Amino acid sequence: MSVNASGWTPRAPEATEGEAQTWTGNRALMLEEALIFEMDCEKGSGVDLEPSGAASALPDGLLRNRPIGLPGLSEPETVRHYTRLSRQNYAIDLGLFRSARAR
Amino acid sequence: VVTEPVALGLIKSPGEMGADIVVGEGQSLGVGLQFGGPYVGLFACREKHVRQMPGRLAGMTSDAREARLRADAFDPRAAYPAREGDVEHLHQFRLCALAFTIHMTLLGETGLRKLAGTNHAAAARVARRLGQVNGVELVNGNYFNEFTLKLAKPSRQVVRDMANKGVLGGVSLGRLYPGESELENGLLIAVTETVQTDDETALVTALEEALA
Repeated sequence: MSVNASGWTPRAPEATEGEAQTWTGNRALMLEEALIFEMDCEKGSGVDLEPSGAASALPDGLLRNRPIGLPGLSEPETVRHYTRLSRQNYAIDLGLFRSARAR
Repeated sequence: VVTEPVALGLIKSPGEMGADIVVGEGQSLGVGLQFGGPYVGLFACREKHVRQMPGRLAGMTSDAREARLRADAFDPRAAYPAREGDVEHLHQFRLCALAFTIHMTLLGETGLRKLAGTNHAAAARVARRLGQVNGVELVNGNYFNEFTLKLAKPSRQVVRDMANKGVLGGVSLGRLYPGESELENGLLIAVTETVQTDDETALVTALEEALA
């Protein structure tokens, strides 16, 4: 008597057009995480600071007159971004780890 | 050019003013004092000089499937640690760099601008108050959050007297440049967003008493 009397065997569907794409861009545990500069959050900030007065001891010609170019994430957005990045780390707790001493 | 990064929220970038290579100390953004170190150094240059930079550049590259990867992207002049103890040093530096990066993300564009303004306003306020103390002359006309005072007495003793009263009142130039008679009365003061009105009053009072 055969162990598999039905004769059925598992088989994966054949890929016809390259690799399957997912809606999020994530592939299993390979998470796609945008750069903070690509996130749509220019005006926000994760800290509360009071506006201060005009610069009194700096020459006018040195004062910044254009944006720095930094994004503005809120505190939860910042925490989530770096937590997601931390899950991409490879470390001694996940597998073999080559010490820099051995180079 | 050497710069204090918080100042860049208020003043033009060194690159905009013509600098090709800029270095700075990143301790003031997210890194604790830690009894003097380790801290995080900042190093920037124009793209034409990038192959002459020491160390390695962490950044982004892509794999064979054109997927983005974060990695040590470029290390033509990396010096990998080989001496005993260097591994820990490298990891401590990376933790400082991570703390700096997260702190900068939290601040963002508006946060860094406000932080710079707060630092400068506090420094200007403290400089004005200290400049009114008898025996004190403000040396700098222009500054961001650090300025130098010229005292009527050698500053090393003044700093000791203030410390005996529980006030760490700045860095004596006489200690940094021993034997330079022109600098022995100099006192370097830094004021940041962490300074409260009570701290300012304690400093002014301690300096008045030390110079009396």
